[in-house]
Amino acid sequence: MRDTGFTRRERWAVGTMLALDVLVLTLWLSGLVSGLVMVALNGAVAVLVFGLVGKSDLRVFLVGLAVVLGPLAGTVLLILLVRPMRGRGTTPDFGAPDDLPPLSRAEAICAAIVDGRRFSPRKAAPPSFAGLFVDGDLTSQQRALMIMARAFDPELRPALQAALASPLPAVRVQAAAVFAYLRDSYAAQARDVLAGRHGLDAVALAAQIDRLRRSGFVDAQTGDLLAERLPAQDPAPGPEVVASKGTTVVSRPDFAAPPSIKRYSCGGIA
Amino acid sequence: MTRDVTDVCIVVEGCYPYIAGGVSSWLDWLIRKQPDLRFSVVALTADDVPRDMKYKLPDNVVLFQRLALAPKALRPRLSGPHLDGAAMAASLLDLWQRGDPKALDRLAGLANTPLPGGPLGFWRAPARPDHADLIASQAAWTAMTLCYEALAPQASFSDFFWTWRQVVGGLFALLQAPVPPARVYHAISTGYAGLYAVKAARAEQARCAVTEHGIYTNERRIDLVMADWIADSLPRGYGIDDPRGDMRDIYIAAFEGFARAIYASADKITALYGANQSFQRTLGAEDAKLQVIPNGIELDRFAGITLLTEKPRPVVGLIGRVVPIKDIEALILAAAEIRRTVPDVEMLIIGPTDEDPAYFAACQARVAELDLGGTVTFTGRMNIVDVLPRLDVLLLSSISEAQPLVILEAGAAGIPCVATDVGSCRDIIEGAEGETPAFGRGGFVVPPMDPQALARATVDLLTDTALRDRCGRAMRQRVETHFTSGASASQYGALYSGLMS
Repeated sequence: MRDTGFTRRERWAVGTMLALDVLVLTLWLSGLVSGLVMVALNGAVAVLVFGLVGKSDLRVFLVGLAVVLGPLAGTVLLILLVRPMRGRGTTPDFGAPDDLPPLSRAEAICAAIVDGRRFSPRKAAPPSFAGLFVDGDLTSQQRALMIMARAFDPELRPALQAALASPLPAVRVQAAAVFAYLRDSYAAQARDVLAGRHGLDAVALAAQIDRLRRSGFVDAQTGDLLAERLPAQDPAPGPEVVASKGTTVVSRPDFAAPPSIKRYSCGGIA
Repeated sequence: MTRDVTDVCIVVEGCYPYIAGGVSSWLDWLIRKQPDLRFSVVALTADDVPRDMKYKLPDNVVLFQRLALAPKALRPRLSGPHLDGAAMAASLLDLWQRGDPKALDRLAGLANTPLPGGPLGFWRAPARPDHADLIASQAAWTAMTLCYEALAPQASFSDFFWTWRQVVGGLFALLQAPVPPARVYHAISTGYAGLYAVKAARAEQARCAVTEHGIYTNERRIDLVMADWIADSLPRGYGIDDPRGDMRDIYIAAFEGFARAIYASADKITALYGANQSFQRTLGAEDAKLQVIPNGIELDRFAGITLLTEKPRPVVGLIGRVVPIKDIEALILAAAEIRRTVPDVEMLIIGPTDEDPAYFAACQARVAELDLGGTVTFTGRMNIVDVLPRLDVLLLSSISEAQPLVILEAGAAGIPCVATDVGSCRDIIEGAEGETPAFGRGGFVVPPMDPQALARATVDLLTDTALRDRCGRAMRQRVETHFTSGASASQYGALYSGLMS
């Protein structure tokens, strides 16, 4: 056996400490003792177990470690005990997840199909929703308004106007809210472009300015100011990539809890 | 020990007494107008962060209880009670997808029945699960994954995880909350407040009423559609018929399910005007339970108001909270238009600005952009009786309202109004169909989201004194005839007596 730096008696003490730590942790997880009592118990156990072994400086070190690490001290000491005994290279190196090669485009598409998240090409072109607001059912109209809010295209503007004039209050009110949301959103984007806060290259900037000017939510004066910001060579903006058209995917860290629902009126979640 | 049973327990969510104005003002009025009844109030809030009360509770409120929908997180226990995750999922889905009121009973039973401990809790006496047992245990995980399979199997699970925790966490928080004994439970919306009232009424074998000023499910739908913090994990493009459920659909379905269960269980469902009942019927409310009780105002408060005629500038006022639903931006855009014809016009935005600081900042930025610093003023909260004499026109630019009190109050003071065509604004300003006697126009109703129309109507009133006087008179007559506080209070009094008998 390799030299671990611990005597046989000290190794027994570490093993005992580990066993008692497991017991203390179990008592805590079972709700039998509070967190404070658990820490106190652990300190007492550490003094009892390590107070009897080793030289005085090692004794102080072990008790101090047990107090600092709490019920994890036994585990940490066990690792210290075992680590020098492990042979080199006995653990296979699987590599960090970051080392994995990125998915190829084909693999990404395959994964999206398997997960049921594939974008359907037949749903790419902006449809004419205007008729829907004349003879469609309420659910379809509400769904169409949700789509307009999340994936607005200037071609949908007549449909939004039709929704604003709907005889159904539920539709009219939701349409007004969508209109206000889009108006504020486009106004903010226009402000960013005019202030130079966009971080876009020339082609993307031209496309963005074109999109803003066609949106119907930017007044003529602002539209003229935006036109002045067009890049010198004025590259004709190509067709927008279908999959990215208006899809506002907001990324939030997976493990971050969402905020509470924002209130727009009395009688909602605060 | 005898239990102190109040007559009416008001259940309110995200509102009274922590938020000023709107429904809170109305609720304060309602309680004070029923001095012979003893009230308790249960206020639901998002979390348990301390909040300042904006209202002093009336003397006839004998008990106040606050309930946090997301209480401080508890540590999951290995010794917690043994719960049936599959049964929990089945009941949750019955409520979520179908609005089955029996599912609410089953969930209440599950949340409150003492159960024996799990593997590490064999030594424990049977105990009621705590909140962590219900949303952060092995059983909760089972329920969550089963719900995921049923509701949104293609969507992002990590997003679903938090959505489930938020929706179900709030539900279990209210199902486990203590219930003040009362003879009638009166919820001021559907949603969590409505569920609490239904649960409390069933537990106490009492009666339950729901009053909706706006329609909660519709307002939540709008908020959720706009919410930028919700990630869309499915690229659905323009497919209306795409059956895959994403987080927005799940939240909306939950609130609709809640409303169905509440409407099915409530004894009475009131709205402020008839048009709102169509929403309630859509979600299963029976006609026999529906009733309209309009808002009313205290005429005496406004009787002594004399409008100022000698003023340095014409004044237009909007009275309301600075929040998106009031569409303050439309008013600001309208102000720029009005100023072109009436250069010295003064536009006052009167109301609290602290409810949505980001929106208030955006409004201030818009005022600065349009160089309206000398025209538009945010006054903050003011006493309406002090403000009204200064106004020539009251303007309301909301994209959603029920029956706005401010229009009634302005009407009582003889001030003409311009309002968007939302809620019952048209009925108040132009008169309901077949109004007898016909009082005539009290101002103008314009489409929502149309600053030009707002501006045109306001300019018409500002530049024509005779028209303004005529409209002001019509408004006053209509309010005095149809919208008095006494009439409204009597109807609520009758509602309570009917339920208590």
